[in-house]
Amino acid sequence: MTGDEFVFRVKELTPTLYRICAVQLAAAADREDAVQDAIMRAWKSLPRLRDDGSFKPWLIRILINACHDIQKHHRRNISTDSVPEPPLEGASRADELKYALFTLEESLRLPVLLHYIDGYSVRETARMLGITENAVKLRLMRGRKALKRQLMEEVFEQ
Amino acid sequence: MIRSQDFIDAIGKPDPDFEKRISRTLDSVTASARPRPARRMIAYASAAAAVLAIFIAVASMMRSTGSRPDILAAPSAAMPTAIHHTATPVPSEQPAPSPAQLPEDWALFEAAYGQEIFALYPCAEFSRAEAITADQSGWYLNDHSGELLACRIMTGRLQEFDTDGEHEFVSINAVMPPYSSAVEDFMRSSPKWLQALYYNEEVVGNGLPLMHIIITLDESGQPFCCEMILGEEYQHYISWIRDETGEFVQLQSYYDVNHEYADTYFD
Repeated sequence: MTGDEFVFRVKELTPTLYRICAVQLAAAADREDAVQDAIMRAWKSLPRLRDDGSFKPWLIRILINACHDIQKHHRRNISTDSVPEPPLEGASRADELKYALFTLEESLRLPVLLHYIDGYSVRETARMLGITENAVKLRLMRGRKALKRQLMEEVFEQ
Repeated sequence: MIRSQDFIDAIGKPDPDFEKRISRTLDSVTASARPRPARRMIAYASAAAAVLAIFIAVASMMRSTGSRPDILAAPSAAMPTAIHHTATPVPSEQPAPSPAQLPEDWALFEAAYGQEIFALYPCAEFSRAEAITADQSGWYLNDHSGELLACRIMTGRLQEFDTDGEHEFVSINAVMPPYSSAVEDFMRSSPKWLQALYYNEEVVGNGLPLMHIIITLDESGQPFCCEMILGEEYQHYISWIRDETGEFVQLQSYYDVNHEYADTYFD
């Protein structure tokens, strides 16, 4: 993959990269650090990527790891930046949805985001998260239930 | 009904600072030279030429002194003689806590799965658990950060468990040692439906050793999906799913399982 292709493909993925960071990290500065770190790691490891067709799940996997690193750092330092603000009374529906997604258990949040929101297949989601397709299906089911409990409404079309 | 688009709108678009950071990072990394294969080849060729030159120099020096380099000598004891690929995951090297440190639920869990692997007991630790791995010596439960939560030394046959974080939905990944007697022992004590899946032409009949069984439970704790991986190199993958009548029907069956599948499990 050439440098130009790399740039093109990263830019093409920007909305997905942003959403992954947005549901993982509350602070804007952390999201920017995570995406920067992920791009740098990806660029450095690019010669080892055997199949260009796997670029998308590969980069997403790297970004998820970069987000985890920042979360770990926050856990060690007990940073308040890592905790999202709960929506105030009368907050918009969008704020409620965002908060519901953010506070979903992490093992459910990423599968829900990648599959239902970003439209990746169960297989692709499984590859990105390093789990089996069955585990993805189970987490999706549980994620939907958890969101429904919190938002008191059905979520996602089947 | 809340739809995907509602969440997309709620999360919002990348803010300008985020996009700027991406652009700046891309500019900086692509401006720096990445080692390209051609360049690496030249580097390797140069290195190889240098090594060869040294070898020739040493050889000619030895010849001139009457001795010669014994390049066919047996490897020294310190030299690795072979690298074995093994499907058995290497457990964490952290020291094993004594059984007394185990939570009570875990003792129940251990006692339970020796006889009935499909009954998992409620365990508070599961919410923190990322994976349970084990070898013949025991099992190890790690959380998301890799910290060891609990472990138990034992001589069990079930070797790996995978959980999605809550006990009511658990994928059990039983890594079988590639010894047929252990698999046979395991199968003898297994429920009839699992025996029926195993003892047929496609599984036991193809001669490849059974390496993994992954059984996924539904909400009521009943198995609803079963996957088997056969062959030390993961040559064959088969899965079944329970249909409306309660019977297991084959879902997938394919050869040449991608090694990534194994990597996923043993990362």
